[in-house]
Amino acid sequence: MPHTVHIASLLVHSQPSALEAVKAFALTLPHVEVHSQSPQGKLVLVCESDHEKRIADYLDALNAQPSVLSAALIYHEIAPVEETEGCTP
Amino acid sequence: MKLTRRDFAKAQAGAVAAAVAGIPLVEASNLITSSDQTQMEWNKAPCRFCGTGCSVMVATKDNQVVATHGDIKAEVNRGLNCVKGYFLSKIMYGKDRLTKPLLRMKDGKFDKNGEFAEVSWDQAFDIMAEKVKAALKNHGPNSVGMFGSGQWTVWEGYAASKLYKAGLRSNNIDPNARHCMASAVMGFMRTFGMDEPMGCYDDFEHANAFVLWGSNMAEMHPVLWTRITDRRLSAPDTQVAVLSTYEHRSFELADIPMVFTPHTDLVILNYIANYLIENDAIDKDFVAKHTNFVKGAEDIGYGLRPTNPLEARAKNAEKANTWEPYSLEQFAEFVKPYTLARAAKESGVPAERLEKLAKLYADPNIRVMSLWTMGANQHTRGVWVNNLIYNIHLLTGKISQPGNSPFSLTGQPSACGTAREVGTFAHRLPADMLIANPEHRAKAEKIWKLPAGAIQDQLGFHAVLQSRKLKDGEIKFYWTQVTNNMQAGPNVMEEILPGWRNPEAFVVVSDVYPTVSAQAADLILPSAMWVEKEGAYGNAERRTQFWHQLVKAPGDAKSDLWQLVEFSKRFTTDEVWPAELLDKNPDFKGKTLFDVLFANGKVNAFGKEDIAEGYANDEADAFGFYLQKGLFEEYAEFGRGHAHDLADFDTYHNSRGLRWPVVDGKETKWRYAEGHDPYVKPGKGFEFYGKPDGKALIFALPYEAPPEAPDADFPFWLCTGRVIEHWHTGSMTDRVDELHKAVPQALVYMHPDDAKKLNVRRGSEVMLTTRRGEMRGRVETRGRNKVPQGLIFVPFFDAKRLVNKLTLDATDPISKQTDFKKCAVKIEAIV
Repeated sequence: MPHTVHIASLLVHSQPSALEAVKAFALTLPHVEVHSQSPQGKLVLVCESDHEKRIADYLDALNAQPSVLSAALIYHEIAPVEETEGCTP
Repeated sequence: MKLTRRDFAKAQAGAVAAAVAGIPLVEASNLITSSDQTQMEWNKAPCRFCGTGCSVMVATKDNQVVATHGDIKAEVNRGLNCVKGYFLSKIMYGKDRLTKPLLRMKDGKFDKNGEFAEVSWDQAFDIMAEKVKAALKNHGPNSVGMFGSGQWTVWEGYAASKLYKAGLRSNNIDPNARHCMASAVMGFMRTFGMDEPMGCYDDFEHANAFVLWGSNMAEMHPVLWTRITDRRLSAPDTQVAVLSTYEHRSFELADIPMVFTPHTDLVILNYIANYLIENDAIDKDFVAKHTNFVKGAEDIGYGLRPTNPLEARAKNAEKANTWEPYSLEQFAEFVKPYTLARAAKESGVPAERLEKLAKLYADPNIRVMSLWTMGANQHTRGVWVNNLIYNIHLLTGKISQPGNSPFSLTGQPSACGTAREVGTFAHRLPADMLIANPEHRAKAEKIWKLPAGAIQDQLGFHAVLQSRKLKDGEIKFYWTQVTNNMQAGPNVMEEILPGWRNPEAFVVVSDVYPTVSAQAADLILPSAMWVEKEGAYGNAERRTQFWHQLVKAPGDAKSDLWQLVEFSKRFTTDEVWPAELLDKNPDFKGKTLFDVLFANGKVNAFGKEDIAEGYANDEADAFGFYLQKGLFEEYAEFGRGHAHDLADFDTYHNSRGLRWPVVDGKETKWRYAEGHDPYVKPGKGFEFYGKPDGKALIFALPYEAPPEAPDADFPFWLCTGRVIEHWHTGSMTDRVDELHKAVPQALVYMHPDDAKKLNVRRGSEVMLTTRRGEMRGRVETRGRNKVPQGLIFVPFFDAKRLVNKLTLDATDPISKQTDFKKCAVKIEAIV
């Protein structure tokens, strides 16, 4: 089976006052980037991983954070690794 | 700048999520649409899993699903996906996917005790046809049966129902929805005379109070729970009340948390009715104009075998579903004994919380949405619980209005669309019509272009009865599709497995993976799933949604629809219909069941050219016509003009679904209310037109004890249910190995004090014993499910730990739905 990479985005809804703290926590997770955020407490994260288990773990970890109301997966793509390299637009 | 494929995927992932969150992005739009970059084809499809009916966008490439994301254009989920939705791109690609028919054989022939060996579809249908014909010839139509599913697509359920009820002339077809929705159906039918909720998901944004009657929406309906969470946070006056027999994740949002003793929901509901009357909180005008009071039959038994002493003692087991006229005054007297003190004492819920709950319903300024699923339905008085919930909404007039909504949730993606609307139950025909009603049978025969008398008047065997009839040797041929009853059904070792392994019976299982049921069968048929075929589902809010075939099924796997229709070619009417019927209707002589059921001028009315461009349709290729469209349009005839109106076929492919009745192209959000529902006559205000006089029934129904309760020998309550990572029996989600790792084996959730008393600790192995069987499990005293003392909770997904060996096959006597939620159990430490 070819090696694959999983690319996903997560939408995290936190109490607006705790947005920065939640963001700081998210950035401690390996291979997670903050894509965008809103003053209403919403945070868009993008992550990549060699196994989707890691993404599920991130969702669990985020959901377990005190001020997080919900963390939901939005996008998920499984791409073969070779295809992700060296392709120009 | 050099942008890699990975950068593109990440930009797209972020852009989609930002759009869901409502965060404006400048650079995003051209990325999403540049599919030439990604070479992925994007299409919509409803999610394969629960009854919520989320729409997901599915990307395919090289005949494989490679990506999914929540569908932003879908009203149901607005771009969100839950954990289950996430794994949609993997469910079809498990290593043990079935791709060939497998027959138990020895020395090259079928042998009930043989080993599974690959056979061709021809060989598979040969042996099936042989067994069906022998059964029909020697034992009549009641010796064949089928167990179907709320995961069947609309046309699969319709074709199966037609093949059995009209073709083989057996009404022994029942869906697994019997295990989850039957009590809800009977609740609707008794109170309103018409199935399915009056409200819709729009109620989430209108209500100021949500009451969960036994449901754990946070885990089981997470996307809908997000809508409740949003409402709770954006409208601070909103209150959430959660009732359950143990504490679960939904309690985290609860303003009024209530853990009650199993079965005492009947007491609490009657207490609320009593409170409303005593505090003058009923809407007298609404009650007078739109309701009638009745008293339901009492002492109705538990749906056990007639020889069971509990059953023999019940006075009204035979007339469980009957009632007599009553009045408001009599009703008031009837509920009077259900005082706050009694409700608090029997339920174990503190009195002030019960009173707060009653006030939510009593306050005319609070719009209340009540929500329930299995906690109410899998209950030996499940129909009563449904009726009692409607009582409080009817007494207060809080119904059929935005935010005022008694809402019965569903567990399967098409429990409503296929099982209920199509009428795949043993007693039903499409559009709420009944086998028992001669006019309804005549109407079905007319639409199906079949001779009068083609449909038998004898009711078929319901799910639990099918198991008993297999065991008793009466059912000789049995076929199941998209369901795993050997794992999901009750009392497996005593009542299900013996029937399947009965030498008298031949059992066929159509599935995508080798489930416990498949392994217990004689013949396994490999099925196509989800976007490997064109499909339609109907969700809990009456929304019908379609999808196109997007990829090919692996190997020789075929859709359940193809299996049913192709199999019909194996029979001629002379072989299966009585001579008398054919003598009266000689035109039907010598025809195949395929000819009379599917090549009838209606089902084959649409050609392949009607298929939307660019989409495969394996069934159309096989049969030469657009089978799905023909079946749908014939089926829709049943409901059009009868308040079940569906739009035309193509509309659904081009929309995110519509809620029936769809009249003049417009969907209906709130039924029975003037201004919302075109079937309500002008000036009526409300009209419950499922009843002849347009009035809904308010039922006087008492508390009656459960069939089994903890005692000295079996001192604990056993409650079963789901956990979020596994959906139902786990036959699909178990394929995704990371899900399996997340919840590696069935846990026995137990109160820490009980564990201490039993001298066990977290992680200890224990033996659970009921009067029916035993099972090992591991103790869990922490985690998301916090049970009260005296009760244990065991999830039912684990194939290695069949908790349904323990459960009692008691049913609600009216709905015949099994009570999986409570029986008595003994727990012993294994040393």
